[in-house]
Amino acid sequence: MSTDAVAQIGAADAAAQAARSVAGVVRLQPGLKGLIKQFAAQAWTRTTGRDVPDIAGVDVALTELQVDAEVRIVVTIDHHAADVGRKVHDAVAAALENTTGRPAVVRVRIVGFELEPRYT
Amino acid sequence: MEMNPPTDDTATTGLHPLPCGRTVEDVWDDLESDAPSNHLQTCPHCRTAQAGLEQLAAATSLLIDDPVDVPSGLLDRIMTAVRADLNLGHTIPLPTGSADVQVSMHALAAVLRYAVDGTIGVRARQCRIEPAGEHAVRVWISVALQFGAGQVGALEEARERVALALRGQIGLELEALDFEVVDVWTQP
Repeated sequence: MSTDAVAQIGAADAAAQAARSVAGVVRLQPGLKGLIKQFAAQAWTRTTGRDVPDIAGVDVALTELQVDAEVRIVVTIDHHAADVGRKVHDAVAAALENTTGRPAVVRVRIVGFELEPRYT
Repeated sequence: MEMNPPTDDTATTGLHPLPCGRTVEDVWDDLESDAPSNHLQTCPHCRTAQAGLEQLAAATSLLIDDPVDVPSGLLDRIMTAVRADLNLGHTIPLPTGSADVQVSMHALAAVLRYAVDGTIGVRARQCRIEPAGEHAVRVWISVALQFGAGQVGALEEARERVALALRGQIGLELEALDFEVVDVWTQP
């Protein structure tokens, strides 16, 4: 795995963890491309025994000048979606800037809602 | 304000348009609805798209049926991912200042149908949403009403629930909401 790829996965992992830490985020939701990446990561782990971070739902592109990221989230309906989205944006931007040392341009996409949240 | 269901021309940017003016995403929605439209049954372009989608579903089923040990819930994960991709065809920005946060209109429609379904005697069918200025939307919802459930009052309650859900749960304002009653049912 190249150094760039490792750096990209590290940045995506930081972004994913930051997004998941925000109250109201049920999960990150990959699209088809992200799902295929997730399967590939699981195959890598099975084959090599080495863990790959779960970054499905996060797309990160590192350039020399900045880091671009798109995060797809599912939000629970008992939280205010705009507030959750803004907090995810800020948390992911901070995590990426801290990890890469570059300014981050973050897009948050709410692709679903959990309509009947389970209180545990 | 009366509002007709928005035509597909209003929000097809970035989608997969068909020569008839609809999109592949519309066909997908139509197939998922309880009652596919007459257009879908007669339009050759939509029927071609339908055939393609059905082939994709069949291929997915074959993969699932493959004796290879596949992860549990694979089909659900694939279909959820496909929906997530399709849902990003229509999005609307939320009021989050400089932060770029957008919500899928399909996901938003599910929230609004859920809000309507919370009203006794009213069941939401289809829901269409279009932007109406900054952080506001116009909504059209077709509904089925229970006979004798106080229809006008029930629809007013449903209207309030939709406005509250938009403001309280999403962060958007309701500019206009039109209901279209498409069915009436009686309690067995």
